[in-house]
Amino acid sequence: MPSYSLLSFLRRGGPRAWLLAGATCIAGISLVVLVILLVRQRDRRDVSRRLLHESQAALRRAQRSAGVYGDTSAATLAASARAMPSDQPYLVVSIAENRLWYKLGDSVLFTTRVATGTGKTLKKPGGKDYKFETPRGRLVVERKEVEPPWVPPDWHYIEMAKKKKMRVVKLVKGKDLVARDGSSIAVVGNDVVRKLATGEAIPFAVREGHEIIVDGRMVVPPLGTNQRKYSGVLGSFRLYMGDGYGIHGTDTPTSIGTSASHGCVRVRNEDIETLYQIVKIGTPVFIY
Amino acid sequence: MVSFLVADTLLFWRWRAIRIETDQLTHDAGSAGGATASAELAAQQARFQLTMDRIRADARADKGLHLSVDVDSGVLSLERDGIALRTMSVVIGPESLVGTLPDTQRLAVPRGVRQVDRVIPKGATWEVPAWVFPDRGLPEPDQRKIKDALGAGAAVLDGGTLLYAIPPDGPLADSMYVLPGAIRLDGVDLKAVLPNLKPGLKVYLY
Repeated sequence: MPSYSLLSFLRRGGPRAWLLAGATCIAGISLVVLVILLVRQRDRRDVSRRLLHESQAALRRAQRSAGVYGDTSAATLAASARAMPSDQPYLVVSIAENRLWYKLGDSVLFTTRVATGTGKTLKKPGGKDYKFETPRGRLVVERKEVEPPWVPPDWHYIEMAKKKKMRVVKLVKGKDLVARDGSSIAVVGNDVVRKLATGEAIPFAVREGHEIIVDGRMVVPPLGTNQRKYSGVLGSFRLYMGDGYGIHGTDTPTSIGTSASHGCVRVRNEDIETLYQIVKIGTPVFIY
Repeated sequence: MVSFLVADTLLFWRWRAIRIETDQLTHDAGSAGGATASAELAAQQARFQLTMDRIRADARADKGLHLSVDVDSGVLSLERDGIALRTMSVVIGPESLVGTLPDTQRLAVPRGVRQVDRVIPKGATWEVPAWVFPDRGLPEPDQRKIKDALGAGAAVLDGGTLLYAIPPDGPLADSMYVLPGAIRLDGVDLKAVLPNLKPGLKVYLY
């Protein structure tokens, strides 16, 4: 029996045999322990491998998304930068500050003080009110005019008549106004004239503040007549922006820097001369 | 005995090799995790930056009248057709937790696309939020509806963001104080732009 052989070997071999047997036992136990450790270590390694693979996959995903967003952002910015207009000058008017800027991109090419609308309203007999405001928004320089005549709108006569506590009467071509003194007010050619009983026709000489008054009534001359045109009121030049609004000079330079106009943008005569030289037709005008 | 020793030695070397490999794998996984966190943060920042860039680009492309606010630089522009009609320095109220527990609210720095909800005209009565008084260390009055509390007027955006200037009197009359989450303009600038602000006007905050 092996146990008998092992016992006899131990008995016969003495301490050396015991030492050998003990060492063999230890080596055997170590083998078992090492196998267990090895198996567990391999498990740990496999877990670590999976962890690493997952981490690397997550890293690739994160790097990919970071890269994608960066590229898109750059492309978007580049596209929007290309879309920006930068070579066309434009005019900007601040109503609150009564100031005008002529700009190219962010550069100011010219700036000056202006007068803008008063914001006041005038009652229109039997109709809606006139509001003397400079329009906010985007307008365009439609044309440039030299020595522009001012064709007073109806509100001018209503305003002047109100100041003088008078009534307003509209003169119509072909329908004469008969005055108390026997003369009549009529349109002859392009002139509003006073026809005397003798048959003589005397054209009216008018200017701002000196309108035609007959029997205590302020006469509104028809559009197109010479008496509906005032010279010198708008200065030497005008940049017309449509709808009756313009940037023009003035015969009352003290009004510049205040809210004094009926809606147009007034500048000093020397400034409108400069603007006339440098501003092209089609230039956008931004009023805020 | 010799076989055991040889087997032990072989197993030990194998175990040692696997352990070294495991350590290396663990270290690599840790590094990859750190790099992933950094990349995710970068992606998040890129996403945020893209959103802000997108808003900025939208503002530039907007042909209509609008306000454009560079929150980080503190610059507000009145723009139209891609042109800055007026560029103004503004102060953005910092993010803050206001109110007293449990009625607190976090007022964040505004970002995104908003609209003007309403315009408060000059001299109007404004109900000052209750939290303003403790926030400023002032006693809360019985009546919080204060006439002229916003001075030259103000605009309120959807979401409650306030565009205002320092009023001459009242709880906001302090150059050192900006309402949290609000945009404070210079008085001259507010006077110039306020007549242009109508309900529905777009405001790009980026």
